[in-house]
Amino acid sequence: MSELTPAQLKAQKKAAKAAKRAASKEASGQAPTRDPREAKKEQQQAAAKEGGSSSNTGNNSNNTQGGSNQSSASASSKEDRTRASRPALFGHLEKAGKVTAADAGKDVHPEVITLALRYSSYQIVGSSDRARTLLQAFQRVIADYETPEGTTLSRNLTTHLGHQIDFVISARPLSVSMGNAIRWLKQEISVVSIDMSDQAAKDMLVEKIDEYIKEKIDVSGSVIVESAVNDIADGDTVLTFAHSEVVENTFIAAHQAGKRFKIIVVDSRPLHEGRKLARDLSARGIECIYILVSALAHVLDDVSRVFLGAHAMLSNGALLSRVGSALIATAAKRKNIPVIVLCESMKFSDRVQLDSVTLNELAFPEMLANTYISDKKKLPEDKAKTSLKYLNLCYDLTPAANLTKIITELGHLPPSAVPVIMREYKSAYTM
Amino acid sequence: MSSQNRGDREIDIFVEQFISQLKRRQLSGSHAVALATAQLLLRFVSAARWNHIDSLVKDIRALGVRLVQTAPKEIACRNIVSRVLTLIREEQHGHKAENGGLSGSMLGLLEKNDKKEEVLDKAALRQANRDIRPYIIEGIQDLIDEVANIEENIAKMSVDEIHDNQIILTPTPASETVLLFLLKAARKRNFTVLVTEGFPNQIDAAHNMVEKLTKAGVEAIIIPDAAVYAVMSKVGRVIMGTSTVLANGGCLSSAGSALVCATATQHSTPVVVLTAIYKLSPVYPFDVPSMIEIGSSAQVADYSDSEIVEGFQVFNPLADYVPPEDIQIYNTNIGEFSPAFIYRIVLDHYSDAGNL
Amino acid sequence: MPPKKKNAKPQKSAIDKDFRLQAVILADSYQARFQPLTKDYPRCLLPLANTPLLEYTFEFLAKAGVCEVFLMCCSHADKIEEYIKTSKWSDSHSPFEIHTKKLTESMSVGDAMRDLDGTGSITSDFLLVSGDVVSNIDFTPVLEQHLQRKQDDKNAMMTMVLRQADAFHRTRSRIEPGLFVLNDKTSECLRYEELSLNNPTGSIDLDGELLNDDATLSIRNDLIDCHIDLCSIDVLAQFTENFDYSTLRSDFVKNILTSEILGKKIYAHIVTDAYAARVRSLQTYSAVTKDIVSRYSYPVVPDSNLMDDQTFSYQMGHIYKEKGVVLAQSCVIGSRSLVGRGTSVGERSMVKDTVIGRDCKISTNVNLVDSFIWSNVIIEDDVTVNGGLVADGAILKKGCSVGPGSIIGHGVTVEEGQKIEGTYLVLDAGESIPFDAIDDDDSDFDTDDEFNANVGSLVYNLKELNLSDTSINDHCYEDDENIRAVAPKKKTRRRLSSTVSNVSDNHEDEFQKEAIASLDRAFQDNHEIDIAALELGTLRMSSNVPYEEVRAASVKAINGYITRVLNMGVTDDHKVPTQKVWGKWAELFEKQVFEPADQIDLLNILLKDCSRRPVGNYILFAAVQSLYDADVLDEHVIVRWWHQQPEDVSPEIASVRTLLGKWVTWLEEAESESEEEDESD
Repeated sequence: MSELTPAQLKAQKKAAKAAKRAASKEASGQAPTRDPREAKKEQQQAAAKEGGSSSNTGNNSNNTQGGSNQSSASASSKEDRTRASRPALFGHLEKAGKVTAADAGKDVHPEVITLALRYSSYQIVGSSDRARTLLQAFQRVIADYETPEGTTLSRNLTTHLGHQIDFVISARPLSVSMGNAIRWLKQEISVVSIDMSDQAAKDMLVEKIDEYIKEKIDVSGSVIVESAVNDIADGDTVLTFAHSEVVENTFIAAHQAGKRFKIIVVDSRPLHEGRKLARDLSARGIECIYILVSALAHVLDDVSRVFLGAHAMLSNGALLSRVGSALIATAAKRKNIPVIVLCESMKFSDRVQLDSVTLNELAFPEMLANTYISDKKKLPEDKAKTSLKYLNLCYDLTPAANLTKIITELGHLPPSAVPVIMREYKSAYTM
Repeated sequence: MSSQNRGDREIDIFVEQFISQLKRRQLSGSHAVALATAQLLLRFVSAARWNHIDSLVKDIRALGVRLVQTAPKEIACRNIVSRVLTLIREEQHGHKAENGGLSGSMLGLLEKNDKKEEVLDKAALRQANRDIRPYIIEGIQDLIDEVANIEENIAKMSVDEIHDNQIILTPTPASETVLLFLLKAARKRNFTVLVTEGFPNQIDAAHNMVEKLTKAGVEAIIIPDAAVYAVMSKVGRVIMGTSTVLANGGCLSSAGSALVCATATQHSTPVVVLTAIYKLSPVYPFDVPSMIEIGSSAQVADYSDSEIVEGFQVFNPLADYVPPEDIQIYNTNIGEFSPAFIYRIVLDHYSDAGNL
Repeated sequence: MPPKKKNAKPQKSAIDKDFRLQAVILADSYQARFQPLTKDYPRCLLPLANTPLLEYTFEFLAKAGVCEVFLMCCSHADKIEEYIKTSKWSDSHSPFEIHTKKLTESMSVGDAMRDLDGTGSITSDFLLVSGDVVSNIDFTPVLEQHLQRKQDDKNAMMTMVLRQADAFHRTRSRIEPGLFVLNDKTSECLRYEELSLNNPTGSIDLDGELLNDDATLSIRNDLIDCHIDLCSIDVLAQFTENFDYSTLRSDFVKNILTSEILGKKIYAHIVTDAYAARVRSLQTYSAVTKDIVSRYSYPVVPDSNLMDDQTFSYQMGHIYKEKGVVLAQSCVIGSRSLVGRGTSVGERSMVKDTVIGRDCKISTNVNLVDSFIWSNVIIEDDVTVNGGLVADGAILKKGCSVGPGSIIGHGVTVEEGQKIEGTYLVLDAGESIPFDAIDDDDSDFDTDDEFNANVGSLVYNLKELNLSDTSINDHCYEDDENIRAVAPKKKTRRRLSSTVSNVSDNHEDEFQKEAIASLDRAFQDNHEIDIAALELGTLRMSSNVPYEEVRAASVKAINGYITRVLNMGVTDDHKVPTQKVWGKWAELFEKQVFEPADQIDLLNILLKDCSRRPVGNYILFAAVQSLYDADVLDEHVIVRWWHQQPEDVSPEIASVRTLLGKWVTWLEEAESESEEEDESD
């Protein structure tokens, strides 16, 4: 990465031209090193998860298979305008785009448009939630889908879904869970028998999606919760970071089981997701302490264990989660406090990543310009502050050494067991 | 401290006002407190009347004890009082400390200073007392200059550690020292600075620092506190300021610094602490939580939200303790020292006389 | 308000270099919300987190840079003076000079202000606070803005400092919470209304002319009124001119804002990033203590040791302990607790969310949760105090329990095994007896329930309370013979001519008696309405009672007369006499009913009174109809009142209003028909 930095520093002065130069450099630089089959897989994977090592413009042209050219053009022009506040240092990272409903191509289903906008404005966050809502939206897309003349459902539906996915990506890069779900769905579509009628096929697909959601998200979550509850003992002080659905459910279940414990919720800017968690837990009568990341060193002495949620588990046992998780895990490990990750198997990825900056997602820098802590206040138009450069990373990587164990629906595992699980259950993930 | 003990002299009024300001946090931050304490002591010494130098020492010590009780977490205050007591002792014994080095302090360990007083006879004593005042005052003036002139102190600090095209991370945006240091380095080198927000207590300082750096042509980027681990693999140096350096080589710095340094250690990124000698303290961190001030909860959670106020507890610590194992070097106005060597510098500047 | 503390450009300060800020502290609130804790001791010296309330006020003024303080005392003024003489604020290095004024004859805030105006000690804009304000505001920008506004507009008379919160925030006073109508851009306050527990409608009336300007109005029901006001000297003059102004908000502010001739303006400064609150009642006492312990008011926190002899230190979990606290090995001091010097806590005792004063002796196996224990309290083994307040010198004997909402007064002994739940014990002639709010005329509370709500609000728990305004009102619907239960909050109990500082309520009872007697004479002798009204008016003015009393008395008198007539049983018909009486005397109310709120009040009084009488439903119907015919009651008010009636009421009330209901329905239809007919309204 370092050899690109001076090049990109120069490029920064001629913003748009430099971006394209860097993009084409990356795209051409990468392609020859990969197997053609791998390349196609890579493209699909790049479509499925956030971060490709090219800029947004490059990504759009890689993933689009016809259609939505106008969306990529308008997205990239918007990109240039907002680029000013993003440091060149991390210029290679995937960025969220500011899309509006008008940017969607004619093929994009209104449900998907709404959903994408909600992703883009961070109203729906969390990898389980995003995967679930995406699949639910796809159910409607499939239900409303009509196969056009001269083609079959199993071939055309995939393309149609592709258009939807592109729009979603332009709003916000996909999460690993979403990528896995999409891969599974495309697999299911491709094996639809020619003999089946369209309606029957659609019904079957919708039902299968229901089953997937139930099995992979809901039931898996419950199994994890049941298992994780045993890790909370009476009198424990448990620390958690931001807001993870599974972790929250674990706390609620433990409380209902009559255990007496305290929760320390650590929160970070700009999303302040921890506040939501603290509110929910307090409302249920669980004693909560709320701090920001910078106060962490002060509370660690009393903590008995740390529970973290996951965005994805990588093949080398590393945890990809909300930015700040790595900090928590490191600090906890230093004090020999067990760090437990709660992660459904659908968030496993066969990607390997060594640090947080190879692949990551950059959110809007303006989100950091707002320094209000109140939920009620509106963002003021403070131009002076938005002229500063902000780095708003979404995720970070915790190396396996800093994790104690992972609880999945398949059991309690050490971090190094992730590739084993992926291999054993490979059929569920590959195309 | 009942009201009967306080006199009505002007200096007493000044002392009481100073104490009130400390209590109301109208005076806070190690630099401001150190400067104000030094100026207070200057007035105190100027206004004081004594027969024997020991009574002055006793008065200053009593004042020091009171100040420490008022603001136990403002260690800079205590440092300055100790420094002044030390310098009085030095003046008194006619620059014995100059011969110093190892032998001087060894003797000092074995001897008890109080006993030394009785050796001098009365005449010499009166002579000494009369002559000493201007020297003491001069000494305190020097101390004030030392505290006030950050620029000069920085000028002596080496900037050779920063390489071209390096990425520097600083977790203490409120530190004037760090800002001036970086600006000085910017004249010779080309680098990028990542500044943590230090939310909520230092967010304004962070924006201020980034603006100033950008104006000087340095690329400065603000990162949220949580992103430190994520970017650490790209960072070449962590440069931070401190409010107090403790006798064991650890230091107290702004909230969040401990995490940054722990992360840096894990990535084998060197941590450089910029400090001035007046921040060195003979205090040993036996009980770390008692040294850390907890600030306003309203800055972390919105007070107007009744759900929050009644629902959960909120903490907002204003400082962090960084252990010596996370720090590589202390860069001061008199040189660069490793944490293990700090105790020696402390001994140089403080004698037993400075104990409160 | 911009949150950033940085100034864009340095502006010429509106504060003159020689400006000396004066302050006026109203040490007496002329309300009796802390009775009988304040029977022997002034309210501003009650301990809040082990520090007298007045100290917090002084700290605030010192931080604001005040140079001169006028302390207006009424009850226990000697004790206040004594306290100040021995405190650090009288020393030569005190930041300001304190002038204590003892106004034993004053009976309201208005009196104090008039006195102040009389002495002429105030020379320019001054800060007006009460003796119980806790704040950490940086006051200089507020002062600057105020003076700037005055420079731009001479009519800017006052700036009120208000803290943003939300409607049910624990620190927002639940007794007379204020509703402010503000102009968003200029921060001018356009209207002030006091909501009361007795306001069943949950709505207020506003003039349409408020909307004439191009301004954006916001109606704020989410502000904490800390009664920190920056006033110009005009304020004092206004009080002198209008000698019936007693209270700051409901009299002064409300009338200034609604007066068209005066043209004076009052502004509101809303604080969003600092702390400001006032301890007005036990509910706010509890809330502010919690805020301080939770460090929302930093640096006004216990471990700042604002008082010279305090030695608090802070521990994780918001725990504060002074030096010299003796804790047993197995005792647990939980989070959000405070323990004063010299206190000892025994084995296996649990202290959580509790403030304990100095020199208390707490024995073994004691449970203190959510409570306030003052100094020199002895608590023996196995005692539980949950949500209670135990005042100085009390003794809780073995095994007793003090439940939520209880107050153990000074020196009271709770016997072994006694269970106190929601009661207020006081020491009276050596005996500990319950304090009955209604009998004691010093009470400010309208009903038993409101009193309990106040005391019980020590442990106010938002979740358990139904939040709608109407349901709060239901508490007050539980009846007692005392018609005062229906009368709204305003009770001017102090007469100007009285010389006793702790006044009794007697003259109100007297007024009722005399008014009813006067009206009875009028009925029997068949006087003219005007004469009766005149007599009633004279009586009202001499007793200085509010109109609610007059209405209540009139209703009682008329209905009483009707009942007597019917009982005499001349005829079986009840309709004719009722119609006759009401038909004639409805006009009496013309001079007693002015605003829609008054009409609603009258309707409520009627409903209440008729529900207890035979053939009440007919009387009610006749009364309302007559009043409507006499133009005392307006259609839309009646209809609105009717629709806002709660569903679940006592059976008497339900039955009595059925007949009226039919009439109201008819009225509505007639109204809508007439609206259809008329083109214009």
